[in-house]
Amino acid sequence: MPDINSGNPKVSDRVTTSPLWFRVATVLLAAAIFVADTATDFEVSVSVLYVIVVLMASRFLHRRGTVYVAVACVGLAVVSAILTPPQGKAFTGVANTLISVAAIAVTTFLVLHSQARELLLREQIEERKRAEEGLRASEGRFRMLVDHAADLILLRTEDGKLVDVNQHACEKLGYTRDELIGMTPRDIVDPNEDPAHFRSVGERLNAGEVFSFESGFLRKDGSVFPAEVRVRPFSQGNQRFFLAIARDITERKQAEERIRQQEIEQRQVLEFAPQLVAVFGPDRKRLYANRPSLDYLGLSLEEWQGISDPLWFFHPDDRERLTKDVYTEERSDVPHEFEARFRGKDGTHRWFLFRDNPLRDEQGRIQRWYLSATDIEDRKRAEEQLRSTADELQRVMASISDCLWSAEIDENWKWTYRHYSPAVEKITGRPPSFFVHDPATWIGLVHPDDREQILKDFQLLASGQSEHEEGEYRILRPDGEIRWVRDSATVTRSGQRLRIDGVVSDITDRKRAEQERNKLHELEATLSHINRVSVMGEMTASIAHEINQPLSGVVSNGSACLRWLSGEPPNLEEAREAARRIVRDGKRAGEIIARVRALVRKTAAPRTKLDLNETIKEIISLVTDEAKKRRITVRTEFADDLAPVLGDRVQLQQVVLNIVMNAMDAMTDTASRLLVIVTHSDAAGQVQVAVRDTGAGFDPDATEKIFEPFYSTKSDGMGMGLSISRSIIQSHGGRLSVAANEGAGVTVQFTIPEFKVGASLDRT
Amino acid sequence: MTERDAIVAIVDDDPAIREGVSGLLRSAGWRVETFGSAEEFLGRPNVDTPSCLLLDLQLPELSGLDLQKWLTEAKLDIPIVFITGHGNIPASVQAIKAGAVEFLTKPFDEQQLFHAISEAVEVDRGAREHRAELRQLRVRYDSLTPREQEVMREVVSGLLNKQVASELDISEFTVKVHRGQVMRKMHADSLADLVRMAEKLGIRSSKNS
Repeated sequence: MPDINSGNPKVSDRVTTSPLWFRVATVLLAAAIFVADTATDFEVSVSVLYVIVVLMASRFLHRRGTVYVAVACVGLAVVSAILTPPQGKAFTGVANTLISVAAIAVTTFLVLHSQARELLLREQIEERKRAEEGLRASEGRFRMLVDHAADLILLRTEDGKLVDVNQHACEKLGYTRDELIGMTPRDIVDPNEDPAHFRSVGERLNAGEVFSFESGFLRKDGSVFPAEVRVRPFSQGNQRFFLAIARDITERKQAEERIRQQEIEQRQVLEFAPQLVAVFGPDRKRLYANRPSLDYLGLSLEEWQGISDPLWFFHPDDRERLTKDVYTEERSDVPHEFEARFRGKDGTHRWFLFRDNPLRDEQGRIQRWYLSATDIEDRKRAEEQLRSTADELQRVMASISDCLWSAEIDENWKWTYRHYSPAVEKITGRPPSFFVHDPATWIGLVHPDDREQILKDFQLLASGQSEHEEGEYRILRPDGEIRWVRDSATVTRSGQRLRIDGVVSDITDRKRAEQERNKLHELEATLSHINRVSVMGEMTASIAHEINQPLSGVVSNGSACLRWLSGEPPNLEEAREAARRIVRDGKRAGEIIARVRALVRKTAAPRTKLDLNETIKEIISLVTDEAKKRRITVRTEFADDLAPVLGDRVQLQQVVLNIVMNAMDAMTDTASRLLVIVTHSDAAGQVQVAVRDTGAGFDPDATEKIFEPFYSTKSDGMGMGLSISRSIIQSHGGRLSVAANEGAGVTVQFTIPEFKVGASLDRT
Repeated sequence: MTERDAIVAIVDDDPAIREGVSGLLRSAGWRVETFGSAEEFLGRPNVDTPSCLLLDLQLPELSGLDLQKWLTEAKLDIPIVFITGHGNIPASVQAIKAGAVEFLTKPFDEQQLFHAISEAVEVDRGAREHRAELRQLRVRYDSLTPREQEVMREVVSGLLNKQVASELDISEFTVKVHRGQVMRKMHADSLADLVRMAEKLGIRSSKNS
């Protein structure tokens, strides 16, 4: 019997495996018969013996080979008959031959038939053999499969006895297969397992259900492990079996336990988290929401869990967007975030940033969804505000009439204009593109008279000698109009490059207004001059007296000097003294004349640092005689430590003169005639000058009117004095006011800011 | 140059004037005192020397005319020469009426000034002499006994000795003795002399008064 493992040769091949000697014997037999048939002349037919040859040949030849052998045997018989015709009657010979041929034919037919049947039978046997071998092999494989399965596989009969278990079950439970077989499920189930549950499993199985459940298993050593069990009943023949496939879920249980523990911890943390956090199961079941979340929503945990529509929580205006972008299939298992207005307990909504992150186990399955929500209302508001600010800025930029420009100077001193804002077109009549990239175009627009200054300023900026330059200059528009602009530029250095940012403003209107103002100033100056001259006119006699005084001194001293010289002997000491006094008095006369000339001069003098006490003293000296004549006592109360002021001496003297003359005029008809001039430095950095008279005063209703031009209480007054005085004081940054005294008369007071070192000296 | 012993007081608020005029007057030999205001002048001690006042018309506070009035009222008659920056007729009239010696307008000629000063000093000298004589008479008069003063009063009123005796109810002889004493004490050369003295002293007969 060949080995099942050696293959599956064909049945016909085995026919040819007859030993060689058998084949040789067959051939020899055929030859012997032929010889005997030919050589002998027997009455009997030797050729019948060919039947044996055919029979033998059929043992090792196929069907067709057997037929050939039979035909050959017939041929040999016929040949023998022809070669050795029978001695007897010819008829006998022929008959013998025919009988032999018939015998060979019949034998061949029978042999072929039997050969076919044998072949069929053999094949059937072979086939069954193969089938049996296959079954055996498959069963072995299946056994291996079962034994090596990672699950416990247990098979029991209806009566509860285990009839088969796999290797893994043995290893897991700690028994040998032989030990297990024959035990009942109760022996290997955790004794702490609920008996009712155990019973219900049995009942369901008997009912033919296929189902899963979790149960603890008891090992031989008494330890237990959790498993997920799937059971099914099945029948074989008339016998019912119950198959249980159990999987150790210790790790899963541990993992679950870990997650639960983590969750407990996380929840404790989340309770105190400022953020709103909610936890969902893998199926989006609402599990937990932290305190801030529930507080915000104004719901209990149960109420929250009970709300089925997730969109309920969001602002109606956001729902469509959320449905389209957030609650989608693609996003169903990836972390994502979105912003939406979240409904608060009072029904109002605040903007929140939501982050939805899945928590996965080791296998990558989603265990939990963590949804956190951060209140971004303030940020949203700020964004909104920023957006509106940006919009506003945009609008402002569009409406701004100043042109912003920037340029860059690289290490090779090459200027490149980077940017000109659109306003440039309004100012220059040319679009921004006209200027960018070619620095010469801007200079080309500048009025030829102003170019030198601009180039100088640019040079200062480019060379780093100045960080900021400002200038006013004229530009020529293509339509021939000349516009005044103010250009200010600031340099910032970055490495070798210089960046210059500038603003060009159209100041044409301002310049025109300035010109108008200048005209007004001139007019004012003229009026002021007229005022001075007219006041001086009133004082002619007084001034003449003031000049006459030193002149008298000069005459007296001159005479005295001559007398001392002509004495015998001449008194040189006295003469020298007298001459010195002549010089002094002459100077004094000259000074008075200069003062008067200054007062009647038309042009304004530059502002200088002044001692107001001195300034006032000078003017008082001009009115002393006038005061004496009018029997007015002039008293000065000058502060010793009076701070200096910055001012125009003549203008300020004019103010004092106006005030003093007004005061003196007011005292024409009064009994008490006292004029007090007080100077004082106050704490606020102002120098005060007050002129107090005991005159007739003025109508309180006219307090403001007295400053109006051409308002006068005097029949011969021009009414310009106080008005001009006030504008002079205001131009000095001070204030002039008039107040009635407690007793008689008024006090006219003005203040001028103290001179501070560093203040501009040429302010006009 | 006796007149140059006189003191000239200058009152002017302008130092240039004060110094100029005082220098000029000193060069001419006068003694000079200067004052910046009327008040300052009033504060000076009275000196019994011939003097005059060179007074500025326009002074602060108390003016020249005010000072003049004040001095007159105080019987401190000192001859005044006014000086002024600008000739002002009403003021000058007022000043002269009130007894000013001269009214000078600045700038003034030295001769004008010297003349005015001399005149004023002379006036003062006369006044001073008169006052000195009177003072002497007063001293003499005061040295008389009350009876002698009575006798003198009666005698200068023109009564005879007998009339005096009966008036005073004393003997004629006693009157004669007293009269002799009066004439001697009063340094009177004659009755007429005594009468002039009595006039100067402002003595009037008790009967007539």
